[in-house]
Amino acid sequence: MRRLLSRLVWLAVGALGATGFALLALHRGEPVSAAWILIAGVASYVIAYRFYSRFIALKVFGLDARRATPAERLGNGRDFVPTHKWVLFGHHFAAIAGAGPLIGPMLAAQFGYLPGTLWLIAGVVVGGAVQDFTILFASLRRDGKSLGQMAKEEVNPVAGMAAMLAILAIMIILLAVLALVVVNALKASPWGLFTIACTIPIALLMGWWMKALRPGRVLEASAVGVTLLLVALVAGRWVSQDPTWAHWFTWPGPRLAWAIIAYGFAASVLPVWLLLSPRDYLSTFLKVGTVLFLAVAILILLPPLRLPALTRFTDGTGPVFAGKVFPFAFITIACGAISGFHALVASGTTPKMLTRESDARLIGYGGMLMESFVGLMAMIAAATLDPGVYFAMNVPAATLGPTAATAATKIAEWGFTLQPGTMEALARQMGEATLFSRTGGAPSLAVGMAAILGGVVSGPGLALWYHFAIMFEALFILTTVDAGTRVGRFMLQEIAGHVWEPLGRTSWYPSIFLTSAAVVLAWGHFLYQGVLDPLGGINSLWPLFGIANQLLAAVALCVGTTIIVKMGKARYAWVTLAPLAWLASATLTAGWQKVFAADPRLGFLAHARTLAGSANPDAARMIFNDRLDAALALLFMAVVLVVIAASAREWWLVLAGRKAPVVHESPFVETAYAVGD
Amino acid sequence: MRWGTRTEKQEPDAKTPRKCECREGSLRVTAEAIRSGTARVLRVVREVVGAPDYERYLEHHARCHPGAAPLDPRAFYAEFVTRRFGPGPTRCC
Repeated sequence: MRRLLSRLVWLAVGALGATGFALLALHRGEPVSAAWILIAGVASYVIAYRFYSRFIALKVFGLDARRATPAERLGNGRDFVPTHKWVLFGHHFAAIAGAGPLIGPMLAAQFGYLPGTLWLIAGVVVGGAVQDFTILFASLRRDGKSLGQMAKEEVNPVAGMAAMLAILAIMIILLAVLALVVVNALKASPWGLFTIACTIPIALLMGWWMKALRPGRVLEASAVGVTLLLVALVAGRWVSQDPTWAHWFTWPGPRLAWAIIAYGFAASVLPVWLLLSPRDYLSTFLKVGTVLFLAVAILILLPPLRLPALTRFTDGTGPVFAGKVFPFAFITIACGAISGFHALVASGTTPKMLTRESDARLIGYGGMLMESFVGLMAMIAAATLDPGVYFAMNVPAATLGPTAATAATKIAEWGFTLQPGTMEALARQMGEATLFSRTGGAPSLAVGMAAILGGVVSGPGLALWYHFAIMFEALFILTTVDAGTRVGRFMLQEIAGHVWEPLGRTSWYPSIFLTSAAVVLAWGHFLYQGVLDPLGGINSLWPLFGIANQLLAAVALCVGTTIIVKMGKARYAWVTLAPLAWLASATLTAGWQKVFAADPRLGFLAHARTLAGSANPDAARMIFNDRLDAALALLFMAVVLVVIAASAREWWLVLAGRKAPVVHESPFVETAYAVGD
Repeated sequence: MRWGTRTEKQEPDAKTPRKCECREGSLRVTAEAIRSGTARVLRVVREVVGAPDYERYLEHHARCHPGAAPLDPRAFYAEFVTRRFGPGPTRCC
C-alpha cells in the first residue's frame, strides 16, 4: 500500500514537471508565468535526486556509511571537521555558487528563455551534479586530495600536468572576464563605485577586528561590516547626486581596470587576515542572504516571462554574442548546468568536512541542483525584462549606434520594440546616467532583480534595489578575483619552484611579488583589452571562459571515469562518459568555431583578417589579441584532448586486462559513529 | 536524526591502522556545549560561512591532546585563516 502510494506521488511529480516543460515549450503569444520554469525545474531535481543520485550512490560508488571519512579519521578541529550534512550543504553551496550561474543565463537569454532553461535543468541532472558528486566521492576516499593530484595518481602524470595547466589557464580567463563584468557595471556609475570602494576600508576594519580587537570573532565583525555596507549603499545615492562627489566617483573603464588589477595584486601579497578573509565573510553573508531573498521574492511574485521562448538569434546572428544555439548556449551557460571549477572545491575544502560517506550524495549531487536553481532564477530575471530593454542593455554601442533613436531602429529590425523614452525613464528610476549598452550581464540582472525584489519590498525604491544588486554581484565577483589571484599565485609558485627552488617558497617575499605580478598581469592583459574592445570584450571573453570551464569539467569527468573503471564498475562508466561525450563535442565544436569560423563576428582569425591593412590605429593591437585568443582556445582544446587520450588509454589497458585495476584509495577504517541514525 | 543528539561508540578498534589516533568520534561533547538555542544557531552560521570555531577547537584539543596547552584565540585564528585561504580555491565562479 505504501509502495503504491509512493509510486503515485512520484508519478504525480513527474506529470507536473512534464506539464511545466510542455507549457514552456509549446506556449506562444501570451506571456507564460515564471512558475512553470520553477515547476519544471524543481520536479526534475526532485526526481533526479530521488532516483538517479541514489542509483549512483548505491550501484556505482557503493557509498558506505560504515567507512570513516577523512574528517573523522584526521579530525584536527580546524579544516578536517565532521560537519552536519545540512550545515555542510549550506557551506558547500556558498562555496560553489558565484557570479557564473547568474551571468551565463542572462547572456544566453538572447536565444529566448527556452534553450537556457532546458540546458540548466538537463545539464545539471546528468552532467553537473554527477561531476560534482563523482569528484567529491573520489576526493573523500583519498583524504581530500585535489583534482590535479588525483589526475596524476589515477590517470597518469601527463594527465596530472595537463590538468594543472588547464586549471591555471582557466583561472586567468575566469578572473579577466569576471573583472570585466565588474568594470562594465561600475563604469560611469558613481553610486555603484562609491559603494564598492567602501568595501575595502570596511574589510580592513573587519580584518583588524578579527585579528587584534576580538580575535576570531567573525560573526561580530561581519555584523558590523554588513551594517556599514548598507550605510555605504544608502550614502551612495547622496554621492551620485552631489556634483563634486559624483565627479570624483565617475571613472572611465580603463582606470577601473587598473584599479582592479592593483587590488588583485594587493590581495595576493597582503596577509590573508587583512583583506581577503574579511571580504570572503562579508560576501558570503550577502550572497546567501540575497539568494534566499530572491528565491522567496520570485515565489511570491511569480512574474510573467516577457521574453519569447525562442528568438530568431538561435541561427547565430545574435548581437549579444555570436554563434548558433548549438554549441554556444551550452558554453555560455557553464556554471549552473555544469562547471569544471566545482571540481576544485569538491576536491578541496568540502571532502574534509563530511561526517559520513553517505552524506556525499546530498552535498555533491544536491548542492549542484541548488546552483542550477540559482541559474533558473537568473533566467527568470532576464526573461521578465522587456525584450527591447534586454537588448538595449546587453548589445554593445558599436552595434546599437550613438543615439537612442538609432538603438530603437536597430532593435525594431530585430522584431522587438523599444518605446522612445523607455531607457531614459528606466535609467532615472535606477539612479544611473544611462543604461544603454551596459554589457556584461550584471546591470541587466540588477534591473531584473530590482523589479523582483522591489515588487515584494517596495519601501527602499528601485534605485536602491538596483544598486544593492550591483553591490551584491560586484562584491562576490571581487572576492573571486582576489582569492583566485592568490590561488593562481600558489600554483605558479609550485610550477616555478621546479625551475628554481626559491621561487617555490610560498612565504618568500621576492617570489610572492614576482608570481603575484605575473598572475595579475596575465588576467589584467585580457581585462584591459576587453575594456578597450569596441564590442565590449564580453563578446570574445565570455565564450573563452565558457570553453575553459567546460573543458575543465571534461578533465574532471575523465578522472571520474578512470576511477569508476578502476573500481571494477566499467559497466556503469556511462554515468560519466555520457556527459563527457556531450561536453567534449559541444565544447570542441565551439572552440573550433571561435578559432576558425569564416564569419568575423564569430571566428578570432577571421576577425583578425578583416583588420589586416585597415586604417584603424588600433588594428595591430586588435589583431594581436585575436590571435592570442585563438591560441588560448587551441591550447584549451589541446590540453583536454591530451587528458581524454591519456584517460582512454588507461581505460583500455584496464579493460583489456593489461593493467591491474588499482585505485589509490585510503584504506577502509570503520566509523566510530553509530550507523543508521 | 537531530543535530548533536547522536550517540556513538568510541573505542577505536585496535587492529585497524590509523593515520590519526585521535578521532572526532565524540559529537556528544558538541551537543552538550551547544545546549542553548542561540549558541546552536550561531554555531551553524559559523559553519556555513566557514568561520573558525574556537570553542570547538578547545573541545577537540581537550579530547585529543589532553595535557598540552591549546593555542590562544589569537594564534588559533591566525592558523585557521592561513589554512583556509591556503593553496586551494575555496570559492567558485
